[in-house]
Amino acid sequence: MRERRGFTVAAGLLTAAVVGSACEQPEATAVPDVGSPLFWVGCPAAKKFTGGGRIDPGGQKVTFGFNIHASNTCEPLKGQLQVVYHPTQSKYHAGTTSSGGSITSFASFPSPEGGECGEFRGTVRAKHGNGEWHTHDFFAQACDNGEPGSSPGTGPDTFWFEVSGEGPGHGSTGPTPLTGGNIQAH
Amino acid sequence: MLSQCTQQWTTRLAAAFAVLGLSAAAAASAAAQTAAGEAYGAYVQTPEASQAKSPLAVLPSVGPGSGDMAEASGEALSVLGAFSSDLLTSVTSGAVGAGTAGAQSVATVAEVSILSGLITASRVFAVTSTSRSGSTTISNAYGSTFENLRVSGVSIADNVAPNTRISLPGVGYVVLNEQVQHATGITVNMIHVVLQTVTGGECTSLECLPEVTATVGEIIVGSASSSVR
Repeated sequence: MRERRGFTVAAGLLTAAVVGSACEQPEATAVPDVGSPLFWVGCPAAKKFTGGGRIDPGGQKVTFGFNIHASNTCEPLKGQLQVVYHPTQSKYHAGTTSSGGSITSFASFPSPEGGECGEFRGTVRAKHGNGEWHTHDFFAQACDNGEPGSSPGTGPDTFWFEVSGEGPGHGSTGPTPLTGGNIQAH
Repeated sequence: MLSQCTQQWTTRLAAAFAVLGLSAAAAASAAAQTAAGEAYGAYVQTPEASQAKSPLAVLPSVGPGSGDMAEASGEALSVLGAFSSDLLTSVTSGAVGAGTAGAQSVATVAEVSILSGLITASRVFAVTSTSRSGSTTISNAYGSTFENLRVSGVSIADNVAPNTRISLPGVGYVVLNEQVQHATGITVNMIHVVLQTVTGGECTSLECLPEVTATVGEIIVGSASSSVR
């Protein structure tokens, strides 16, 4: 059986909204359990996702942009991610070719809202304010649930970013509707 | 020699393929071919100082079946007497798929001060999105906003209406949340200061010279654009 792996996450950015339903799905290719907070195995949905915009988890502003392209076996072939958590001026970067941050795994699945979701994880280079660059494990999920502007301020697309570590600038946004921007599955 | 029945089927199949070919061609002509995007934190061009678009993120060429992203950021930026800020970030991404295409761009700037405090803001967010499905293109600037914006000491609402123009006596004017929609996409400049000088207007006993207003520079803070063709 395809499984959606889960555990409770520490909420440094804001309280994580853990999705606990729909835990059983059809069989797919097995990949190592890499400890993602919620991670689908396999990629029966789209293998290319692109997006960018703004979310406001807990009333705090987070902006992001990403592009990821995976193989038929869910291997990330090409990808980049930028996330900025503005309250602490924390920046996060990852890419399949960048040094210090990497996207190492990918999965996709049908969205409960009728669209498609992509998940990817790995390590990000992070910098909080004027601090030093360092790395964290990260998890990101992006769901394409419709065209931008069809429900402004409340999605319909969602983005979720989670980074390991304690204190301000760490934790989980939880799956949050886009305030602006768009997620596109191809 | 083909039988009559075979000839009829051959003719029908040829006609069917012709129709399919035309349909595919029509679909291809309607499908998006490229996605484009750009985002930057600030641009300054005044008689005294200049600063190219910075930090600038420009989406690399994105054609059918591909996607990409570009990003840039800066810890701070200062242009003497014209502009200063803390963290600036820019990101743009886009892709062209079989039936849909899209691009989205985001620029953010923190602790903005323009013209030695004439305009200030804690944060500026410029967000644009353009998507195309079939022959329908949708663009918007949802997510674009300010935090603690003040113009000439007057507090301005975060969600100021698009293309709000405010006069800056002795300086020119500023357009807030400037949105330019076009057939293939959208550009939003969250703060666009236009610097002007006025010459003429002097009067003699015989006549008064006409006043001539000239634009001598501009400052743009928080710019994002996206388009699909």
